Formats: sequence, structure tokens, C-alpha cells
Amino acid sequence: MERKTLGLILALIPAIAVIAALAIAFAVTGDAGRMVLETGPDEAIYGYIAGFTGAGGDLISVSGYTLSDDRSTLLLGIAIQNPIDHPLTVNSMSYTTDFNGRPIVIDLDDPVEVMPGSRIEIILTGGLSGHDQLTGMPKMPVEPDPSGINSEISFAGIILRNNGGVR
Amino acid sequence: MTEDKADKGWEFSKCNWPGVVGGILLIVLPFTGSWWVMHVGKGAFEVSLSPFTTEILMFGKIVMSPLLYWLNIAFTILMLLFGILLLVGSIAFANEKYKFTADTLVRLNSRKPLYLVIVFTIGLAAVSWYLGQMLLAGGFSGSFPVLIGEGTASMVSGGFTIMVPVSLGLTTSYWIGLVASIIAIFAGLYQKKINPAEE
Repeated sequence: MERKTLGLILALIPAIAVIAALAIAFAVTGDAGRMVLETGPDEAIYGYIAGFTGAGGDLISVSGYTLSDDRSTLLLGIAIQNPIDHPLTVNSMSYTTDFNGRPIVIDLDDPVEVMPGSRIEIILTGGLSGHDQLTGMPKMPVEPDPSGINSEISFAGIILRNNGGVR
Repeated sequence: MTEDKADKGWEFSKCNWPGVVGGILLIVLPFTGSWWVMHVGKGAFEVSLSPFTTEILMFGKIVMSPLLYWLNIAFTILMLLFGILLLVGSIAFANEKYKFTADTLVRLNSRKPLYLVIVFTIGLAAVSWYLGQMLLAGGFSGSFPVLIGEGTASMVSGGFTIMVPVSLGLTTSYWIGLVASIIAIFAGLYQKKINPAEE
């Protein structure tokens, strides 16, 4: 076989293979967009994010303040609702409140995982000083607005951080 | 004259040895795994790509790309073909009877694998740049890597600062592919050296 003929055949084979692949992919899907990806990654990620940010603040809700039995710790109950179908982790959560005229930082001891679609109750704790414990029945602080609570929540490596009052 | 050529039989010392090595590497290449990986978050969006394989996972679910699936099949067949022809040509050159055809096969197949590597690399750079542009268009800000590197896309929405880490990288298989392609190129140059009369 002539070198030119063989060269032409070998040059045509890749072109034919690529054109055939394109034609088959289009024939199978019948849609140029879906031929590349059945679902766009941006749509999925935005869908998840919308689950957090578009639900009107349902992600975090405040149950209320209480004191521990020994009156040494201020407790704030928080309910976390996972609105997406992927586990999420509350890495950190904290809030600074005014207790008897003194600033008390209450926070989450350890990260917690919230399974898809479920709701859990977590407790933020803040140790009271000796002075605060001795003050009879104290006036409990006003419940914070959820948007004012500092938090870091993650799912699948995507981090949502609220530095309090950003809303 | 033809009988004389046939009588000489196989003289394996005359094989194009770079072509033999390159041919074997090209045949193995489609089975070495992905060449490039992209991670968005940790499991949010994972892409592993090579000309021969595609794996896309979105939140743990497989996403099909019919186009890439069929292109992978086409490129696997092509690379096997290039590898086999380069290997056969490199070995057959050791026999006077097949010398002309063998020389043709080596010369014509030595460059094509490198073309594939170059086109794939340019295509990846274009795709990663396009993904960065998609995130920018969607309201994210930040620095997005092209082809290789790490970055974080961020946006503020609903009171949250949302941070999406993105990392892109080439794998060992990519470098094996590049080395195999360079060896194939070298085999073509070596062929010209050992058989200059066919120029």
C-alpha cells in the first residue's frame, strides 16, 4: 500500500471516530445540552444553597435560655433543621449575651451532625462566674435572633458562615 | 530480490526499540485511570477525567455525560490502534520483508498520541476556565484555578457567607501519557535516523 494512502487512512480514522462519538451521543440524548452533562453542577450547588438561604430562616431556631441545675451554667437551646438531602455539620456556634449586666459567651462544645431532613436540638453553654451564680433568680436574657448567632455549618466541604447580624 | 529479503528473516537488533517501549505504553495507557481530577467541596462535585475515562459525582450520585462516554470509547480504540500499530511497525522493521510498511506505520503513528495529550490539556484548561466563569456569573467571587491549583469561591446570600473550595490537579497517569507520547515522538525521530532512505 502506498504511504500516502496509508497516511490518509490513518489520518481519517481519528476524525471518523470522533464524529461517530458525537453523532451517537446526540442520537442517544437528542439534546445538545444534555449530551454534555445530564445535570449542570451549578444548578445542583445553587439548589442546595437555596435550601439554606431561601427558606426564611428555618435552618436555626431558638428554644430559649435556661440555667443548669447547679446554676453554674447558662444554657441556650437551639434547634437545627437540615433542609437538604445531604448530612450537614454544625462546626461551631456561639453568641455573646448580656447576663445581669455582664457579657457571657455561650457556645457549642463539639461539632454535631444533622442527618438529611432531620431536626436536632443542641445546647450552647456558657459558664457563669461566682458572682453571677450568687444572684438569686436572675433575669434571663432576651432570646437572640437566629441571624445574630455566629455559626459555621458545612456540608460536603462547602462552608456556610454567619458572623452574626450579617443578614 | 523479494526472496532475498525474506531469507534474511528477523533481525531483532534492528527493531525500533523506542517504538516498542512507546507502543507498549500507549496500549497500557487507556487503563491507567484518570488524568485530571477536580474537587468542589468534599464530595459536592467530583470529576475524574482522561481521554479514556470519565467519572462525575455530584453529592455522591453519578452524573452521566453521554458525549464524554462515547468520546472515551473512541479515544480508547484510537489509542489502542496507535499503540498496536507503533508496536507492530517497530518490531516488523526487523524483517526486510516488512520494512517499508513497518517504517510507514512508525512514522505515521509516532506523533498522534502527543496531539491527543495536547488537545486534552488545552480542552481541560478551557473547561476549568469556563467553570470559573460560570461561578462568577452565578454571583460567586474569588480566584478560580485553571487546569491545576486550588481556590475558594465565595458569595454572601441569606446572611451566610458561602465558601466553596475548588481544587484541580493532574494525576500520575497524565504524566505517564505525556512520557509515552514523547517516547513515541522519539521513536519517529529514531526511525528517520535508522532508515533515512525512506525520507
